[in-house]
Amino acid sequence: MPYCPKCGVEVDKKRKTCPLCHFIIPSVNEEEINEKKETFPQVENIYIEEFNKRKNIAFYTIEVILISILGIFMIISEIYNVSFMSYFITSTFALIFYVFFFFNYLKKNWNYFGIFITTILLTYTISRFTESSLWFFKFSLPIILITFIDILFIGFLYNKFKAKNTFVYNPVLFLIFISIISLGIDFIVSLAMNFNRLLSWSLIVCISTLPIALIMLGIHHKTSEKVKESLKKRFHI
Amino acid sequence: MKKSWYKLDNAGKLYPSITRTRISTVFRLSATLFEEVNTLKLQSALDKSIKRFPYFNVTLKRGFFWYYFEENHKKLEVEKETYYPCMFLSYKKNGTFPLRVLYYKNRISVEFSHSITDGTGALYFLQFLIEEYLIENKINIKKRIIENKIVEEEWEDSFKKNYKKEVPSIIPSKKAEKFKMSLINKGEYYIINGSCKVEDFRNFSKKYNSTITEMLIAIYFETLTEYFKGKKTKYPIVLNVPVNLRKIFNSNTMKNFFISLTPQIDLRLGMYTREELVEYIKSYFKLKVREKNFLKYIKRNVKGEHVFIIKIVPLSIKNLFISLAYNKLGESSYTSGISNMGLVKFKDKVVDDYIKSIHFYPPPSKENKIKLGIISYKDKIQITFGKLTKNTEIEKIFFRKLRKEDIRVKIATNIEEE
Repeated sequence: MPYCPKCGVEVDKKRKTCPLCHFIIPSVNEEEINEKKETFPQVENIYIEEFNKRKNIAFYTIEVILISILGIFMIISEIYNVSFMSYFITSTFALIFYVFFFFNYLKKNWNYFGIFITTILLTYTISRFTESSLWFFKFSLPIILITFIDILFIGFLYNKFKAKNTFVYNPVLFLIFISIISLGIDFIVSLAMNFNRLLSWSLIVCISTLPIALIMLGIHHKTSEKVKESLKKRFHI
Repeated sequence: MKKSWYKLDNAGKLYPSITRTRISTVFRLSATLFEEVNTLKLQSALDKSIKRFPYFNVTLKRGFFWYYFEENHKKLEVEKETYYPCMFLSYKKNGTFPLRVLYYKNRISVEFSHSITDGTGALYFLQFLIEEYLIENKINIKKRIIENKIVEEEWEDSFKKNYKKEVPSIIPSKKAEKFKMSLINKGEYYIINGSCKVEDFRNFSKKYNSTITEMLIAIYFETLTEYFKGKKTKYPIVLNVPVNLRKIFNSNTMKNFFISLTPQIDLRLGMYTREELVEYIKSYFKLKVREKNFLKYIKRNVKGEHVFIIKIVPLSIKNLFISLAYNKLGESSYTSGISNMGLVKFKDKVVDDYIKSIHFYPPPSKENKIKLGIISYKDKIQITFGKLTKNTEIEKIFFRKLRKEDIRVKIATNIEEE
């Protein structure tokens, strides 16, 4: 009979490690192992099956509704020749793709990339309907780029720290995200409008958000015993 | 006796509203035979058994004010075990049974939603099913676990029957300390089973002049004490210990009829010795397991049903409130649960020649990430931890304690090795 030398419990003959402490079980007669019937079957996850079923129904329903709306818009545009209808048609068309990417049928990064490309194409197409498409290159494209880079960066940090205290790290990451995006938008707008200062209001945002993030991290990671003692001495009630 | 529909019992009313992926409210009882299960014979045994238990041959329906069970015209079929144990039953869907019968190699399992019955009702069903299965295999069984004739009391809502308006209600318990362990994926449920000899455990309990249940609770409290030692605790450690009320109130119901007692210790007061724990648990149960005391619990559970305003609130709104109330007053007021089904006996001893062991798996709960289900059969006691976390610290401490007392333990688990 195989035993865990640390816990002292007998374990199933097929196990290589103790189920309680994960200590390696000393090997026993191999013939006996092969004879042993398994106590538990190889199982599937019922939730994934149920979840996918529901996801497919939801995706199908939403897409059918969107395609129908798109059809209605196209007919209205054709029959009544309504000029602004092209905006609705383009947006609905993009929405069909957004829904596909949000439903996560592709690998995570491909979905992310798909949303990025759809947003660029959507704004570019809309800019073509306007008199000057310059705003796309001046504002839209750089802002989309900075947003996606920011999301990528924060996503990387989130994956790195997700095992840590979420009540501290999630708000901190959100504040960093806000700071970066503010700096980016401020810079892009100032540059495009030829302002004297490339950064203005975003600095106020950063000064408000980053110290909060730093304080939260500081409190979370605890101040040293010396500082604690000093604070206690000065502020005791 | 046949009823085309019937109301859910008082405890059962709660469960459909709180069921989620991780709170399936489904528990399992299984019997391991000496021979591999014959599917056709099992199906035939099930067909006969379900006729004996017509209140289980139902499907859940939505009324305007309450859920109700309606006779199910579909056939309940045995299924091969392919998922993790105690997974949610989509029993709000049309035609879904509130139970499933599974087989895997030598094992026959029944999984019941708590909306329809408790452990005792499910155990009667499993025992009857096993007997039918053996009869299918030409085994002569003279004394059945339950008479073939269905009696009216089996349909009874014993909570309602024993409800007394004038009795004072029990004060709801407050928050309890929780396990701060990360959850496993949805759709997974881990089992760690320790099998020991009843005799070993009885001798161990005798040393402390206690019963097996009291000793198990004491050891579990001791385990939790050790686990939380050095961790800052804000609340007491509270265990949910269901007590079967059938004997106390002389009931033959097959619906839910249990009350959860909540022994607790508070580590903010200091550590507890084993002697202290055993003494506390013995006194606690002596004081609490009394008809008069249970009347107060029944009053607490049933009184809401008698309030006219609650009665006329539509089901969808009730669902919202029940779910919120359960989160606040239910599982969040326990640290973990420990349920001992006791010693299983068949009336005809011939059945014992064909059954190797009987197991009980507690229902998964997101709030109580680890629960303990215990059952004894023949000379073995099966201690099963049902878990929604991969952390095995609690089980390690618990079983090592038993080993220190010279109780031999055999561990089996469905957690795959990495």
